[in-house]
Amino acid sequence: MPGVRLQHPTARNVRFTISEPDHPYPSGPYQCTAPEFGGCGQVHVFKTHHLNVDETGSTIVGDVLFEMAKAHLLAHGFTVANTVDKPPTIGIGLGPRVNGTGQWGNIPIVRGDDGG
Amino acid sequence: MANSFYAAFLNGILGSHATRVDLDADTIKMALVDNGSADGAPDAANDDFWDDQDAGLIGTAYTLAAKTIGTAGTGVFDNTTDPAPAFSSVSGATVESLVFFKDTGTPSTSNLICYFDTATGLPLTPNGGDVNVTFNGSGIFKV
Repeated sequence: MPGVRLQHPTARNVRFTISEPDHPYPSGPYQCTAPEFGGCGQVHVFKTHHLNVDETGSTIVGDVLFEMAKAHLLAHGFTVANTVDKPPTIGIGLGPRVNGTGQWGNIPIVRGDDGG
Repeated sequence: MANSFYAAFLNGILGSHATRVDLDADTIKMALVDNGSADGAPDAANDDFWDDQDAGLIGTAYTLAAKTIGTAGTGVFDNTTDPAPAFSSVSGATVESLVFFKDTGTPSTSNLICYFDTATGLPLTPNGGDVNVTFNGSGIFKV
């Protein structure tokens, strides 16, 4: 049971934010990445999970996360629709350096067009 | 927050750390990390070995199998293939960081190299499926 498909009764095409109020980030608040990277840009004091709810009100979470956040998910109105044996692939992209964004911190990546 | 080398890695290049990283010969891995674990977020100034971070490991660390040094550019470390999947059937807490480290098989001697906490797709909420990683076409990092 790798994935669990959850269904929300009313939410469509939105990102749900689920926080675990009993689980603060141990090394201090987490600055979520900016929306262009996939985050919300907000500061989270407690462990946070973003769920992207599609146009049908459905979202898929891993079984471990589901068990961890089950009480919070159900409290937000989600119900379990079914299990998903092969959830869709998701990705992380280490994009090119963009001057001024701070994206690359002290890791310089050279590009021909910015000399960087 | 910003992507960063670990200070111990950079100082190790100059010989001021107990052990060094040979990016060519050593086993280099990348790992999905939960900043909410007991080890917390990557600490560039103070973390030096994988045992400072391994409590946050989500899934299984991926071994870079197509490393290059100096091919993409002088001083540039790269991997010529984008791992797809890099991580199979990932399930666990939300991932905030992607950490690169040398794996000796013993966390307390496995040097941390760098981490990315700002990249497309982070934070990543595992859905139980595979996670692909697309590297920058100009290389993973430059020293």
